Amino acid sequence: MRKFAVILACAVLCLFVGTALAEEVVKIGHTVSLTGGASMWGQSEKRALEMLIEKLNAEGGVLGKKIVLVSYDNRNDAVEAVNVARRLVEDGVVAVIGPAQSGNAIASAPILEKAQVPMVVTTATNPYVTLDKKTEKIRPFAFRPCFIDPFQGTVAARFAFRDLKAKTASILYDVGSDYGQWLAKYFEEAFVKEGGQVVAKEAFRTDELDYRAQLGKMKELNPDVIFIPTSQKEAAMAAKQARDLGIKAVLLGTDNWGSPDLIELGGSAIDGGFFVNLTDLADPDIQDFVAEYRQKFGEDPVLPNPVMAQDALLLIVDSIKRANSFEGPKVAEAMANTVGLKVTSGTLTIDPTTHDPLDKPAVIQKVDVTNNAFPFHMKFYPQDVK
Amino acid sequence: MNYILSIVTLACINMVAVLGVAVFTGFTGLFSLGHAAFVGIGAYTSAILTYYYDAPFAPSLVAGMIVAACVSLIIGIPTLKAKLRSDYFAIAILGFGEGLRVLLENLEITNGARGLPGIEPHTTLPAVLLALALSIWGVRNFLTSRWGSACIAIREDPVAAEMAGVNLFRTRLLSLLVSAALCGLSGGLLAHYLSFIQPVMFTLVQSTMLLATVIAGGMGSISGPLLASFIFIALPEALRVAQIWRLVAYGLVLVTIVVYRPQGLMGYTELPAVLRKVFAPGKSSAPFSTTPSSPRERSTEAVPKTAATPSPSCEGEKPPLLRLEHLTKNFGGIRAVDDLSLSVPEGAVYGIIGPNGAGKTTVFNLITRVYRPDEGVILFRERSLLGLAPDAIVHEGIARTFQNIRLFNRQSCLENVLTPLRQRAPYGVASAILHLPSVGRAERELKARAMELLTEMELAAYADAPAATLPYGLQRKLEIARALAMGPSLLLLDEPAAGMNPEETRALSAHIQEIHRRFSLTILVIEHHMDLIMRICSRIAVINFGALLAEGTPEEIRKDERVLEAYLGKGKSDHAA
Repeated sequence: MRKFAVILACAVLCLFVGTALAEEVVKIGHTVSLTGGASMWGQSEKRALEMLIEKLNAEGGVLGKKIVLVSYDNRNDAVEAVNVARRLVEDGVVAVIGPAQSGNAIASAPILEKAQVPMVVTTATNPYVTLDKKTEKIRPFAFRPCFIDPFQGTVAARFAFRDLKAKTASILYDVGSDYGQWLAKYFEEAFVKEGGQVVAKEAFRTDELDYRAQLGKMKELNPDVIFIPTSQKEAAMAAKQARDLGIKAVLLGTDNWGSPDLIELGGSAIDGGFFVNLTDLADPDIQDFVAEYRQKFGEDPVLPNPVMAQDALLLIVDSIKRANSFEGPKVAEAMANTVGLKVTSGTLTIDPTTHDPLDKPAVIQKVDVTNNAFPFHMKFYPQDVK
Repeated sequence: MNYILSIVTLACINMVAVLGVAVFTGFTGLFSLGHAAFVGIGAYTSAILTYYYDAPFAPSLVAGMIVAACVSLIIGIPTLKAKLRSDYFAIAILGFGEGLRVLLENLEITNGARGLPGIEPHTTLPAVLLALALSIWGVRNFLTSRWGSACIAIREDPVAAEMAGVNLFRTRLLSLLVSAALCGLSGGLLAHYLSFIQPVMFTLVQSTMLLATVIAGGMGSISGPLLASFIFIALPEALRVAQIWRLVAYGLVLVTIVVYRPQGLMGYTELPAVLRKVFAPGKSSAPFSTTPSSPRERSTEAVPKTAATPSPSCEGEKPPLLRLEHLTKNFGGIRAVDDLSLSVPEGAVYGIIGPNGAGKTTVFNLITRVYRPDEGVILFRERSLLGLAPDAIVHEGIARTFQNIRLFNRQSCLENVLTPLRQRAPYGVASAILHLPSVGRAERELKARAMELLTEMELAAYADAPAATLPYGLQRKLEIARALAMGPSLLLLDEPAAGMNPEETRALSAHIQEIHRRFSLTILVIEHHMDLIMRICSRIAVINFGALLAEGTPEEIRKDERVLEAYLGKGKSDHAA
């Protein structure tokens, strides 16, 4: 027991000394949910980053320095996310990857902005991550490699109206989720613009799993599609209850659906549904990444976060190289002028006026219960929905 | 802002809310799993003011406090009315917390679950430190004032608190008000520190954290919860390098605290007091080790002197001080008091005797309004007491002791006597919180008066000792001292000699007679010890099965056939119990 304690103490000491001695490194921060409800994606995100950093360091790192990832758990909590952001600034990171959730990202942005540390979120799709809501000005240090919710909502609406030929839609969303509230809003706007009609917009409370009252109302109105911008668990429960009530409408979801749980919990009820995603396992562009990840960890990556995190890291490394500097303002400036960068998900061009990607497509995946898969259905590019 | 400083800021913000919960749960003894709602109300109120209306920071914080306090009244008024049931409030606030979240998620002005981003980051460390310092100072002043001691009395024993003149409802409501305002302040600071708020930040999880902090810190302490709050915020940050093991390590520390300090970090003490004790060990010895026997001896000596003074027995002409008319009280099928009528003349020492279960204590409980009579009238100075609340009856001039001693156990003897004295203190809540000079003056006078009383009761040596640590006989005395502190004209003593040996009983009889004389009291006493009753009482009522069996002078009772037969047994006249 005593021996064990001594060894442990030595190991910890080595760890500290090791980081202290390694002067020739550049630290990149990572704020991520390693615990809590979103930890599945967070863990996978961290693995993907470590995998890529290993590769980058083997190639010589960036500007002659080895990259070190400083990962902290933000527990998917805004107060924690603020603490993590401050800690990362204190640790002297040159840039930050994450958070993955918009609320946490919005809370972290002002701190990193003040410290002039560029932040590249992974899957925070809310417009106000890169945009200051009060001043409606762009946040100079906030970037993202993923599409934004208005685009996601628009894609969902356009897909429903033009490809599913839906004339009426209803929305079931979590009133306690910022993500759900935003997407419900964007989908409604886009669907009405397309010429469709939103016949019902029904909310439920966070953690509520019985939606029969809301769905019962929808049944009367007989919509062609039901848009359910929630996580996989709620979506699966809603699907089951909808089918039990005899609702035939096509179920349509968002990038939070893409988890094996969806099929496990939803069963046949969810079969034939569609959802918008940032990327999918079958996407031809990420096959190399998926193969490498499988080989290294013996399982599939939990998409889309790992891919988006790698994109974020590649964006940071490339910007540092182009700026030929580790200084925040210079890196951010280079970041804003990224054009056609080769990243894991394809290519990345940042719009200097919004700090959002110009060319990031959205994929539509189908829920195929028989094969327990989410086959690729179609792809939308930003120019398609302009 | 530097990372360490920002953690300190966050900890201080949290401390302000913890302070609020400490007042409500720690010092008033009421549980709440909904105080995060008040934090949320403060946060949203102040944030909305600065965000939409460009209001200045400080007034918006005050507005947050006021709104939180007002909302607390809306929940508190209907739920805290239930006298001895604080669970109504606990359930109501739990529901309210959830309800508030739904409201915040659906209102347009709060931006729903999307939250309010871009709040001006007004909160600076100096501002937070100032707010915290003011809060600690205000809470300390509050707790050392009459309202604070009323809160603590309620925590220690709500029934005894009422008998010390504390209004349960108003005191609890005030405690809630103060705690809600502090939580509101904390919320305003939090909103302008994070510059982003969401309804999910103010839910049951946060309420539980606040409560856990107070419990881990110590229920009757200000410094304990503050310390715990700092640990709860700083520790997870310090453990950040431990990655996913962080929360496990954090949990272990918490479990360790709970296992090794079940009373919380500070228990019922304060950090400065403990430090003083540590650095001045010579002075801190317990007072009884040297003096416990002397006060008792003295009181035994006093017996012959006072016993010589005969009880006055010529009050017949004056109107009775207390009159019970046709009093009846049923508990389910049992008639505890049955059509009882009594008159207690002013200046008398009036005894009530009767077998166990005869309804004697119920009579006391009816007089002091612990129970409401089913029928009949209670007149005190020819005025009915039926419409009055228990604390109002006490203020009318009726004080009592309890059969099973009910002291404010963790409070010092001085505090036990001060609490009733303070209930007539001539200062307001605001001046108490601000500790205006008038408060200091009033407090000094009250303390002097309390010491005087303790000295008269020969308890001065124990002034600083917690009541629970006193020997049994002295606890009885302290209870009488507390009752006397109300300045009563009628003193109700419920079996004051219970558990005493004959010698102690004789000393007590002398003492009661002494008090009777010195405070010019009317005393109503329930006893089983016949010698005590016969020695001190000028009139005696005998109760059996809730009904009056006989009434008269000790001689008359001694000779009464019915009493002899029904109660004392044939041929015996002494030591019936």
